[in-house]
Amino acid sequence: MQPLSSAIRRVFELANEVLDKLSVPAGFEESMQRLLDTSVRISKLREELKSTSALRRRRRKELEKNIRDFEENAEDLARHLLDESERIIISEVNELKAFAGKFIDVLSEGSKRAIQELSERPPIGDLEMRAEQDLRNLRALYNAYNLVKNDIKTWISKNRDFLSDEVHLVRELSEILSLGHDVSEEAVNRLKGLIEELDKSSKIDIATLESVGSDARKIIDELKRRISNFARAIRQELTSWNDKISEISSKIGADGLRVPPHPQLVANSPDTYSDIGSYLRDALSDARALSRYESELKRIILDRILSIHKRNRVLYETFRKYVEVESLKLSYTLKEPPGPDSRLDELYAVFEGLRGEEEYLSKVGARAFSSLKSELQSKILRLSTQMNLAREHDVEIPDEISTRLETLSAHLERVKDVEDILTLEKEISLVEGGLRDAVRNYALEERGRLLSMISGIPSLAEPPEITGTTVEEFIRGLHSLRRWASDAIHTLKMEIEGIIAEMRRGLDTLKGTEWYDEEVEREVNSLTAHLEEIKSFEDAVETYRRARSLLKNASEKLLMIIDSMRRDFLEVLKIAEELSAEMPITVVVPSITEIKASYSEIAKMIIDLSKKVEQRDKVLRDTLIENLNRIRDKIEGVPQRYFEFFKPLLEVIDDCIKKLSQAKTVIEIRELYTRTIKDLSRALQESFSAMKSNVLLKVRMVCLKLRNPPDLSESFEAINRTSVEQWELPSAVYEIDTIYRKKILPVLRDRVISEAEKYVKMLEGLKAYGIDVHEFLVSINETLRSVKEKEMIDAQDLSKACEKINKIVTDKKLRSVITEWAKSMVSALERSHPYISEYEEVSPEFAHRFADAISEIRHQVNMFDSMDMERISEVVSEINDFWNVTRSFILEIEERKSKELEEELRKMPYYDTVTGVYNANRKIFDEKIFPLSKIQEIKEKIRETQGPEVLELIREKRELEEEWGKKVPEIITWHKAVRVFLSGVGILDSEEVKERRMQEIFEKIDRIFKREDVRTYLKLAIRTLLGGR
Amino acid sequence: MEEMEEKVPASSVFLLGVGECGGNLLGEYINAERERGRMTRVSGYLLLNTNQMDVIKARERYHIPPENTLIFGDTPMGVGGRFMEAYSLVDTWWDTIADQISSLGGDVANTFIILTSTGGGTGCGATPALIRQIKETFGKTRRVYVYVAAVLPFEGQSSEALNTTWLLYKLMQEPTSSKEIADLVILLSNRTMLRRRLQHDRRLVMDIIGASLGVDTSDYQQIEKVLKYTGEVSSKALEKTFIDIVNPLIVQTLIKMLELSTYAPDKNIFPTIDFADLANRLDIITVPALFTDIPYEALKDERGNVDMDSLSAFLEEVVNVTVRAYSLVDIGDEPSASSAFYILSGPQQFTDVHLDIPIKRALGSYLAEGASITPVFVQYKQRNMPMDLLILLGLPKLEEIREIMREAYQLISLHSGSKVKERWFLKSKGVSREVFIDALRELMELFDVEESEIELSGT
Repeated sequence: MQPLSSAIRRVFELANEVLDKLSVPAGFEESMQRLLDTSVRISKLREELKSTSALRRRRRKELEKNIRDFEENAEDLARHLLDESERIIISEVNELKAFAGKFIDVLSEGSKRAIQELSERPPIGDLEMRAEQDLRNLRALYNAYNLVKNDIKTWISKNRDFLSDEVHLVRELSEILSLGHDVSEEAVNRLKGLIEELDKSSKIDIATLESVGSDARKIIDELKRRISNFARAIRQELTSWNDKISEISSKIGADGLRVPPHPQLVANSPDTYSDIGSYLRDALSDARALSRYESELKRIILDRILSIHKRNRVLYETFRKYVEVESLKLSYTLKEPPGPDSRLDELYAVFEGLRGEEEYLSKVGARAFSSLKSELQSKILRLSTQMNLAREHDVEIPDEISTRLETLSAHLERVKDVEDILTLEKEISLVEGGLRDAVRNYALEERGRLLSMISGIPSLAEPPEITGTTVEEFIRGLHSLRRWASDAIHTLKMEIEGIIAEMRRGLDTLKGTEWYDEEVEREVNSLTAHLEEIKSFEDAVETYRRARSLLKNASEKLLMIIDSMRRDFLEVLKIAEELSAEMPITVVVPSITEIKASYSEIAKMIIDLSKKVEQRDKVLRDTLIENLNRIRDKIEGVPQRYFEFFKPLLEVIDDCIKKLSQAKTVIEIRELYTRTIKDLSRALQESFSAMKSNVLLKVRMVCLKLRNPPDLSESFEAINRTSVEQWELPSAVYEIDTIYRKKILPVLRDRVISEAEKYVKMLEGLKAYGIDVHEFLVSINETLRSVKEKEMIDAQDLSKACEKINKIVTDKKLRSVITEWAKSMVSALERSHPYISEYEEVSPEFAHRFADAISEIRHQVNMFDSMDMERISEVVSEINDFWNVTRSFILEIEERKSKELEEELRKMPYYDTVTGVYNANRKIFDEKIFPLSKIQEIKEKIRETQGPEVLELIREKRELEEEWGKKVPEIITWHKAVRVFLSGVGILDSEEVKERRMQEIFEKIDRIFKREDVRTYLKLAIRTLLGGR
Repeated sequence: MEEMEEKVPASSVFLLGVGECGGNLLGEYINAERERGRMTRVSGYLLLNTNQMDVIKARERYHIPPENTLIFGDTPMGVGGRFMEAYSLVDTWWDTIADQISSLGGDVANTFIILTSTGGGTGCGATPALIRQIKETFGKTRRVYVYVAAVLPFEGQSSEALNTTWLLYKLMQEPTSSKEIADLVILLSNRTMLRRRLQHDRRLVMDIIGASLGVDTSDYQQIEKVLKYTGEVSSKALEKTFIDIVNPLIVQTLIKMLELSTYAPDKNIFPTIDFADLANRLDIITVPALFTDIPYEALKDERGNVDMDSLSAFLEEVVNVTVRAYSLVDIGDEPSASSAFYILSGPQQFTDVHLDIPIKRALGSYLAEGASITPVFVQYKQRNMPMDLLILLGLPKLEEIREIMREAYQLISLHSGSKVKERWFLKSKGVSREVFIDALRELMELFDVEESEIELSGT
């Protein structure tokens, strides 16, 4: 049996490698798994057989049969797997061979040999032999496949490298020659992709190999074909380019331009090259040389083009002024010259064209000569006419200009060729320029002179501007200046006439008054006489200026008068202002600087002003009386409750008004008024002070009665700060009233309320401690309510409320009630001392401190008579706190004591059962055995009781607990008897049985035990333990 | 026997714990004595076993010094159920065992108490051989008594029941025909305690057990430990826990019995009796019942006096409850014991001979007609001593023994019928089937088992 499993192992090994190296059909792996499972089963069965004793023959036989069955099965599976593997290997061998046939040209000798050695037939022999042979074949196949794959990869990669070079050359050439191509770089990249594809799988994959090989071959062949096509095209292109350049270079050489030597080309026909790459490299070098040579040629031609073009342009511009030039024949000259980017042949064409046009222009020049000459003659004639005209307008023309004109005229008669006539033309233009400058300069100077003369005369417009470019235009400008001057004389005369008329009007107004000026009248008359004699522009300007000055001086004289009258008026006005804020006549006289009136108007103003002065004194008196009446109104506006303080002021005012009505002079009025106002002011301040003091006093009265008066200094200061400004008494009074009502009274009221509330709280606190302060609380609450509820409360009301409150809290009866309570508490605390002493074991110092504290409290209570209510209340609260602490200590002590007792009792056997019996039968237990519930009740009461009564309860509880502590051991002794009676009855017995048995037990108990409590307990315990009722 | 009684002035007791159960009982006893601070009641002790592990465990658990233990035999695993192996090993190893007993003070003892289980291999097999050898070696020059405190097996362990049958049979042979008989066999039953335990209400049982064992019933952990095993846990675990509780009870009983063997100035035993005397006053098989701490103080009136009539009436009740609820083997309603012995110990003023009347009156209902009752009063001068009552009932008709016999019979039947089947007896027990049949037949007579119940003639 052993050989078979080694064969299976071998087959399995083979299958594994097939799976690893080849693509397998569906089901192959499954077959492997089945074989593996079966093998495992076999080895398990063998294990079992080995461990089965030789004596268990039947089992062994059964196992052996199973093993045989499985082994047969395994062999079948292995054979199937082997067949399948062989089929796969052989088919792969055949495919690889077929592939090698197709690519024999690229395969290495090693690969070829390896493929030849591959076996195409399945091996013969038993399973193991076959499997081993197959394994060898598979590995040989794998090896051969990898050799072939490497060959293919090398082949592709080599081709890719040199194709890539050639593609680069193609691209560069095509750029230089501007020639299109269909050689793509992407095809080269694709080759790289193909190599990568081959490396994707480590398994034998002939299909991929085949597809990669044939793809690569297609790409390589196609690229080579395209590059070769391109090479041929380049050859043609280069030849034709070279021909074109040589043609042009020989032509321009013939035209006399210096041409560099033609470059030597190296590339032959591509057919003469062994590889296309070398050809492409030579072609590239030729292309570069040609390109350089062409650029040089272009530069030479372009230089020449530019120089011819420039000269042609100049000639054209000159000739066309005098003769008709056919511009159609000058197409190159009139166009802009070409740039360096133009093609060589284009440049050459332009060069040729320009040379042709150069010839045409020289022909035109001959034709233009006669017309140029006659033109220049007429120009010289025109210039001499203009020169004479200018001299008539006083323009000074230099002699050399007239001399030159004559010389040029003579020259022109003699001139023969175009070049000379062109020179003459230039000179004539120079003379024309000189004449024009002379005329223009004179006209500008004249205008400047006129302009300076009329400065400050607003009625005259500026002289006309001198503009233009020609001699003729400037002469026209001179003429217009002359015309402007005659117009200006007329205008100025009209102006002077107007001034004279105005002055005469003013003089008429003043006639007969002290302000009439005879000298002014003489001047006016002289002006009137001179007016008719004015002829020149200069005289007109001077006379105008004289009239203006006369008017100005006369007006100023009048204004001085007005100013002095105004000053006098203002003096009186000042007095009025001192006395009263308002004076209805102030607006009449403006300051002289503000007066913008004509001479006649100013004269009228003087007359008006003298009338106003007369009205002035009456207005002053009326105004002052009115002022006094206004002060009176203000005083009467003070609120009624403060009015009394200010009443006497009214009499002073009435008296003054009376006196003012009888006063005569401004001085008298002023004296009277000033004194009255001064008196009034002082009296008002005094009354106002009196009023402030009154308010402050009321407030201070309340503060005095408060225990803790509020800080009103700010309000007081505000009141003190208040003063009467500009007779505004009502607002000052109102301000004080506001401070009193809004800032002081609410604070005072709040303070009174808070003080009262504090006492209420204090009394309520005392009440809570059990002190009978009810009646005091009621009356203080009443006072509090009255303060809170009264809407319009005054300081006096608050003062009264304070008095009431103070009376209540200082009441002797109140104190005695509190003292009584405090004394009772002290007594309770003293009684607590023993308990606290017990607690000393935990806090040794406490008892001492406790005793000290009690004596301190007692001392404090004795001092109650000398304490204020607040302090008393504090002490009461301290006593209460102290009591609460003491109480909590006592309670804690008691709880601990109870707990200690409970713990002590719990240590005793059966204690739980005893308490269980109690819990189940409390009432009867309490009655007959021990009043245990009573302890619980007292404990409850102790917890609830706040006052000193708690001490009594504790004493009671202690007694009971002590008794209970003694009672428990006794009961436990009784309880021990329970088990004597319990045998023979169980909790699971029926109620009936239990009840019957219990009755028997109870009878026994009654017989044996004499004491009622023992009997009761035992019965209760038995009933409880048995769960009866 | 009568004449020999005079020659024993005082007991000197040597304890032997045999087998695993015996070893544990011995350990418990030693520990209990140690707690009292002295070991006055016994002159020495030895733990014997064939199982090495059991010895080591017992040493560790009870802090027994190595010189007080002995492993005999060559198999460290012990003899298992093959008691006959232990039986023969005692003879082979006797010289060594005897040397060790002597060195531990056994050479001067006149009473040997063997603590063992009746069902285990080592204890069951070794006990008869030990009795013979002790009597032969140490009884050459004086009269020695050998008592056996034997723990009966749990219910449903038929192999152990078979061993028990053999041992009881061996121990009760006629003295004339065998040297392997015990002077007194004190029977103790795990199964009784267990049954009671399960029958009663937890709280009530704990009350009783707590008081009997001196455990505090308020220690809930301990109660829980016991109660935990009532429902879902295996009976094996329950047994283990229960043995932990029952063993101290057995030890307490032992201590109470040994009270008779010691003297103290403040103690008076009336009438004077020696521990060894017990064997002379009782039938060979006895069942103990112990009530500790009799609450006589509950009878005190307000002035602290106890009314003697009340006490008498009360003691009658105590006797009833002791026999019914506190016997270490369930004795049933009518045990019809052939003899009885009781010890009432307590303070001198209450433990008085006139209490014999009510006790005897109460005990009467559990005895066969004409059975003798031997009273002993142990009076202490201390006033606060607890009052305890130990009752030993001689040869009661025990239902439990009958059950054991039935179980043994079933096992015998199972292995009967062919020679091949019957070979089992020799193989796993070391004795032939016939020996068991003989033993069973004898015990049936002793414990009034009807022939119709077990048809031995048929087999």
